[in-house]
Amino acid sequence: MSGDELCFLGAAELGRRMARREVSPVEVAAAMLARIERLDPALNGFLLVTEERALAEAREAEREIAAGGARGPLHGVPLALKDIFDTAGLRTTAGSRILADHVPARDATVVARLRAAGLVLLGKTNMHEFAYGVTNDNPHYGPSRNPWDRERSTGGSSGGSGAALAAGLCHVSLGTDTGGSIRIPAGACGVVGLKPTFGRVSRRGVWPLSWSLDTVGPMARSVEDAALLLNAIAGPDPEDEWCAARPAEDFTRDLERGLRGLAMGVPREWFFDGLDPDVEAAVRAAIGVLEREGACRVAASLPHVPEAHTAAHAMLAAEASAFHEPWLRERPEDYGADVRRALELGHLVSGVDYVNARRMQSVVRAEFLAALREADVLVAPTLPCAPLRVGEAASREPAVAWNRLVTPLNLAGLPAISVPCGLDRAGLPVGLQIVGRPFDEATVLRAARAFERATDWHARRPAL
Amino acid sequence: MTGKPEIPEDHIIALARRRGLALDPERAAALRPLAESLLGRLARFAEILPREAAPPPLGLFEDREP
Repeated sequence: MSGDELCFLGAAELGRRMARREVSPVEVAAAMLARIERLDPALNGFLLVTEERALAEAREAEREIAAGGARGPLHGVPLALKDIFDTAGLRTTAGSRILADHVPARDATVVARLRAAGLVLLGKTNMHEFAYGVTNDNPHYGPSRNPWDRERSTGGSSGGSGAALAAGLCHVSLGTDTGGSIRIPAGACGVVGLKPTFGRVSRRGVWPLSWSLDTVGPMARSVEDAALLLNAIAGPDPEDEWCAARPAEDFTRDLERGLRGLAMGVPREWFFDGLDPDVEAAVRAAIGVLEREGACRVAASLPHVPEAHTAAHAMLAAEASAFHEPWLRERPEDYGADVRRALELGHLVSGVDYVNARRMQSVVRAEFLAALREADVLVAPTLPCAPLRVGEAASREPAVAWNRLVTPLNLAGLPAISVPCGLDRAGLPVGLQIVGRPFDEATVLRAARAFERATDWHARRPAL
Repeated sequence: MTGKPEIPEDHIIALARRRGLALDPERAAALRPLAESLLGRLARFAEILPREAAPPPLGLFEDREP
């Protein structure tokens, strides 16, 4: 198997081969590092490549597997982390100038869990500054570029992870999603991204954007790989009081169950308004595939969902501004122009505005939960149109905002995945979003896997 | 209220100052369209929200499955 073939092998399959000692973790890590060196200068997906450490971890994995078998299904598999997760002894910038020299003493809980599972860290990925934006046009470290078209944005804020996965520069990655920041780059880069239920995954050691909306989740090139990564990170954390007490589960358990008997809700409002025609055609075709695979289609009504974007924006703006207030006063020039403006805007949101936004969160959440009493999952596009051009501003106006189809699920706190479901006429990826009930990631993954099994969109690769 | 409210720049500067943030007129001007849009949309919530709507509990879903 060539080095490039190893780089695109699924993480689950790679882990199986490593456990059987058919593939060497050191050989794979070396191939990944060589590929990063060759391709990443044009993509800018990585802010930090941890070459020596990756090779040392790979050698340790190889030795352990030879001595006593694999720790688990991802032992020895290469990983890239969004640069928002604290990594002990490794610079963690959150994509900012303000944290340019920040070297944490401790790993974030999720990083510690991935280390315990034996993954090999290749480096830290580029992101929108402090995760406060959806383009990944980072003024301090440069924009990440979409492997499908380098003039296009990867989306953000976990855009470096999207680029790295699409280009075969890592096998799995971890992102954060406050207003769509996992699903947007997953959709724009043609990979899989799962925002878990709010509270499912610990956020200790993750730089906050909005305490009420932030989530941590897996990004991968297949649904199985995303499920395995979620297995490794989910579960209670006594050091994070926002983290649910629910025990960890095996999220791969239902992957091959198929869709027979599954009720699939298609929203009447908002999610299909004003779409690019190619996006609409691809998503409606995907819904047809799910029906042919056995899902039963039902209508879903979400009348207040047009207000969700505004409510989430107000909460995010106020909470981000509260967190950043000391830095914004002392060193405002160290922020990029868009993030500084957004942080200033948050100061104008009043207490009444904030509470009304939280009240709207209850209304929107209740509507989603009512729809999910009739349906097991809801389906919708991830993005309304093709990836933006690098430097093109993403509007904050809800009717046309690039994140308008993903942010409502942050407000509702529900699990939602984006899987590749087509290419537009310019050859750019289109994403299908599948939403589930609280803590029912297993059904979301089951539906996504059934779609993946019936199509080959996940296997398409950009020409690099 | 349905249209965007007009928020004069000096009002934005005064509002920010009350909340501890110094803005010069240039920055206030850059902020104005964003503020008019967001605050205008938020102003509608008072009309749209059901009177009985309360904020959700902290954990959102813990031990409260649908």
